[in-house]
Amino acid sequence: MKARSSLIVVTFIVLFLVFGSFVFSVSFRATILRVLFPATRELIYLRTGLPHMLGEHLSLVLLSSVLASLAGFSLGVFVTRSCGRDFLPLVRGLSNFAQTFPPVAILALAFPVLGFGFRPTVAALFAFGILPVLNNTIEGIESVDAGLIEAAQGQGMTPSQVLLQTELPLAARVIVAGIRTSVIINIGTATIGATIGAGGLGTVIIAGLVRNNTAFVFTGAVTAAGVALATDWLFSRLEQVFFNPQDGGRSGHDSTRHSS
Amino acid sequence: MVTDSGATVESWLVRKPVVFAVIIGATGVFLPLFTIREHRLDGGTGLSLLSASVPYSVFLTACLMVPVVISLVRMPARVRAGFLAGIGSVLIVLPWLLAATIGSSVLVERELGLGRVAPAGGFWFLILSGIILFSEFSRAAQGWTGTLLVVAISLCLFVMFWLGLLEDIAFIREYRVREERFFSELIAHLRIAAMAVGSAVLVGVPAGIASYRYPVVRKPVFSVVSGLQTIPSLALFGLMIAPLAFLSQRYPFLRQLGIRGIGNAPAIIALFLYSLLPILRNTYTSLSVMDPAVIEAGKGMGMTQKQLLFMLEIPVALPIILSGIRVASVQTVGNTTVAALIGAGGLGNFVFQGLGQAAPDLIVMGVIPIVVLAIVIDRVFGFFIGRAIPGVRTVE
Repeated sequence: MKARSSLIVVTFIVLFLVFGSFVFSVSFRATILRVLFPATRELIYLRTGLPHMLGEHLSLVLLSSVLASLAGFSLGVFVTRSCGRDFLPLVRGLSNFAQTFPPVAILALAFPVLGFGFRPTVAALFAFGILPVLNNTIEGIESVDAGLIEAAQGQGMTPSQVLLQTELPLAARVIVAGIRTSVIINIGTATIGATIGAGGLGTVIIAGLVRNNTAFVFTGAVTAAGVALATDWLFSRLEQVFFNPQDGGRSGHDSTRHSS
Repeated sequence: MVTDSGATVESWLVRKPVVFAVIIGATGVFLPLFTIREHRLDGGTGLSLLSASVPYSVFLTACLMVPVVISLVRMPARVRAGFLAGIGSVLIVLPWLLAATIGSSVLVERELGLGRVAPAGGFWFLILSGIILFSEFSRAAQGWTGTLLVVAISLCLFVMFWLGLLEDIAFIREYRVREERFFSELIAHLRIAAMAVGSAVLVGVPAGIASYRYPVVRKPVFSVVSGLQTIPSLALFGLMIAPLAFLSQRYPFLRQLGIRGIGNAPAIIALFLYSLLPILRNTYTSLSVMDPAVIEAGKGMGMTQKQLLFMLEIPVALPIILSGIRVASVQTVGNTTVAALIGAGGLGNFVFQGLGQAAPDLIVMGVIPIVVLAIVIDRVFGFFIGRAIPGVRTVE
């Protein structure tokens, strides 16, 4: 068992090093691409460096996901308080309804409303990213046993203490799963953001598609896939460490529905 | 429901969402209802309902006051719900007619024969307030009334479109120019999505049953399939290109089948891989949540393993599996849009063409049918899942 787990660790380290070298070392990338695409002359996309595109991609996702998580979480908490409870059916209904919208549709509509570039893309990612966090916050808080809340109130806790000490700790796992879904969707949608001029890893994929250069497409696709898989893995570790050491870290992770 | 202050006020009606909807609707009267564009790439000038037509502004404001007023008058709850539904429907339908007719007259007035009317913020705000009022009504209404009204509203919009009342609306213009191509792309879109989901059902359901029967395969199958789901769609499409191009170069018979690096083949394969997870997971879940007592009863009756599977397990599992197919279908209809970037057909062609030409109306024209498709598919599955739940016949 022990030998196997250290083998997994070694594999991960190797994968990480290979991925890092692929992104940051141009000569390493050129070597790999030359083996895979012997017929292609232009292997390296020169207009923008891969690390720069990766940086753009991560800042798109980070900015939009942090804002979306904050907004979705606050709205979710608001509609489960007594002052906002009137809005609960409406928010739940609209949010479920809006989740049938494809993320790429929201992204495409950002252009007519806000124009081209980085900021419209962040706005679109933000708008769609709210939904999984919101849904899971509501679901997590609503699934807390009413008896526990009454017990907390019976002990003389104020409403904010009930929220902070009883409801949120019990709902945390589901809420984090919502954030995970939201981040993974945003990493995917940000790739398409290149079509509205947001930069990011989609840039080199689109350039490859336009110029019929498979090496470019491969470069962007592998990097984007690596970022998504690494992020998902990080979240699963996080869930494992904080919530349930026995569990594989997968349960409670509601589908990455509509990953785009 | 009776409040402390008296029996006349019913609390669901003076609920905050109704007030919220009224505020949004009132804002919509002041915001630009539409923009007038001289040509398809023109930024255009906005015109609010208030500045375009005072009588209609007064009429819509009066409509918006109705939900507030009726909450202060004593009347049966059914009548109130009716009022709410009526006002909601008016707010959803009327903006289309107003934008089209007022917009057309402005075009004539300014002598802009090739100009167009693009719906703007006020238009969408009015419709949003209508949707909120409508969903507040649906909560109070029983059974089929809500569905019937949705059908009536859609029919109303379609008739307006059919009679040619909406011709000056910008994205309808874009549609008219490419009517024939629209239908061929729509069919291509549906065909790609259907082939992907169909093959995912053929593979995912047996794989789910296998993971349930043989716990050894569960973990590897699930981690591979959920890993695939994590990869960005554009990246997965991109990763399909190189191997498929290689294979089609190597084996001519594949090329004859139309399999190349770009086009429909990589799109369908990638979308198929995407659809696997919801179907696989729900199949597995449906089998694992089954009540062991039911299985025992079946065994007690002398059913064979095969009979158990086909006569007990599958009928009980069907609604859960169907919801997996529902998620996969809605998701695939959306992701098929992205497939246009690798040369597959479908409605995504309009969207990305619109982005390429910086033509907002073309984008909207492409996005609307995609969203409508996703919603319709979601609702149709919802209906059948409601039917498939044993013993339950009226599930929303």
